[in-house]
Amino acid sequence: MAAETGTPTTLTLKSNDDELFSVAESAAILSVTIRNMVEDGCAGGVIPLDNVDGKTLASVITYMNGISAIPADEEKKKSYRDKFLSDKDFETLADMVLAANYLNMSCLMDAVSAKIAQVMEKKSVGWVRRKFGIENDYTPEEEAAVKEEHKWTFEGVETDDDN
Amino acid sequence: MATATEEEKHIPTDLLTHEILSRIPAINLLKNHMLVSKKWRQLISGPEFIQIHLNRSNQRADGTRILVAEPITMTDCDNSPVTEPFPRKRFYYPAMKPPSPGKRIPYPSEFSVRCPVILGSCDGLICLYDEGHRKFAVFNPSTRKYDLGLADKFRWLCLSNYASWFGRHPCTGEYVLVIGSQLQGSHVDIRVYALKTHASRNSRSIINQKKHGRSYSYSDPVGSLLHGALHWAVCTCPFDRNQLLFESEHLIVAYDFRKNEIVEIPPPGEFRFTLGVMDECLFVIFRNADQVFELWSMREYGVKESWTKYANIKGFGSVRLLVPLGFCSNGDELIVEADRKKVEKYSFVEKKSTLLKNHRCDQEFKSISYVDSLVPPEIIYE
Repeated sequence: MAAETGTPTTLTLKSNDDELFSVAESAAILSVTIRNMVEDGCAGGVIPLDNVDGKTLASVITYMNGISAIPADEEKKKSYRDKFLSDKDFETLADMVLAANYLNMSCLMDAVSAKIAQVMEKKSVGWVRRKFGIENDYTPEEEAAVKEEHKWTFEGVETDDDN
Repeated sequence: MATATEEEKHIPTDLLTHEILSRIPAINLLKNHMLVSKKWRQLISGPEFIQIHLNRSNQRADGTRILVAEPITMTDCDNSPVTEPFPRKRFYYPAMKPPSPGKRIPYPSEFSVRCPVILGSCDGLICLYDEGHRKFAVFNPSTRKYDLGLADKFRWLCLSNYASWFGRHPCTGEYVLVIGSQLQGSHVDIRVYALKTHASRNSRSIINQKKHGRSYSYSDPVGSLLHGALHWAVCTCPFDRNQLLFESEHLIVAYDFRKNEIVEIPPPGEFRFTLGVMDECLFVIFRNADQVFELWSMREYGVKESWTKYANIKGFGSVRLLVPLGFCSNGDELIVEADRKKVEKYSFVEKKSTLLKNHRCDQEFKSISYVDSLVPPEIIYE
């Protein structure tokens, strides 16, 4: 256990594009990955986070500070998370889900995944393919056959048409 | 435009399925995400994903959906209220088409035009029985897939005063159908059918049967599972030969799967009630002398003294029986069926109810809650 003294400890995190960030240890240990490093005593100098870029790490730290400032009140934490994610676009959310996974932060992971699912829910096939960089490997006949199989889903359901 | 792939995000497959796609309702997965690529279709159709998706639906605040069975068609509603303003007066609109939330779903062509009986719901599957043509079906409303492999295997079912349940056997995990019926004379007969073996044999595959020397009439036929036992709200009317009178008594009757035993559990008082399970406790709903419904929960299983009043359910003045269908919004809201004519959502916070589904003309209907899932009906044979 590194933090046995009463004074608040500050950790320095380094993103994969060499940006440095200071963050209170109490907030940073929301990440199980960082907490394990702290407990193993490897948090003395700079903690390198090889899978997270500076822009995303800045966002994650904003979240860490914001959420750890809220006392144990699930309602308030939930509304903070909703507000925090409300203005994030798909690309940012995708970066954050990868960061949350790497940092092992389950509360951020759940919130971001749910947000991505909500964004994707009614998007068109083309939108999903584009955002995930997926090639359509169906032939037109195969695609028509899959559509035909679930024909009823096309009756009276609207899709957000971002083409 | 040509180099559109620069923005692409490589979310690993297990993150995509476990964390993201598993949170998307079945209808959207079938409509959009199956068509993304062959790989996505394979992922979404796989048994592992189907299980993850089911587990998520069970946790989701809006995962509870309601199926309403009426003559000719069913309606599938989520738990969001009717959005159009709708007059609450009964019989106001008999000839006009009422606004209908949700979607109409046809019955299999093998069924008659009568309203089928709903025997139970589990893992997004619903067991239906058409008394007109004596056909049995397992149906997933989220995928609209039927299984009629057992269609003619329950032709002898007599559902006049009966109890039922469909789900996984608490000891073995296999899918079973439980039917409680009245035998000649005055006793109840509970039978547990393993659906897997019921399909493969000519004979009936009763894995358990229990006779009991009392006759019951059931407030709501579909039982509630808790602690390995099924529970029904019943009324008994034993005939007292010495005094020449019927003495009615209200009870909870429990069928324990493991012990193959029937036990009676006392309700909080002597009145007609309906039953459900919340937070690992039995609860009952009944109408008090002031015409207000009360919800009581049995804090300690089987202990009569532990019945505790939880809340009043206001605004159902003329209703006789409220059947609880399920909770939503983390338990702040209860979905109820009122006198087989309306489905409403009651908020314990706002202390008021909102209409989810109204009856058509004066037809009664049957409703049940289910979870959104991709589980194929054929899973009952596995």
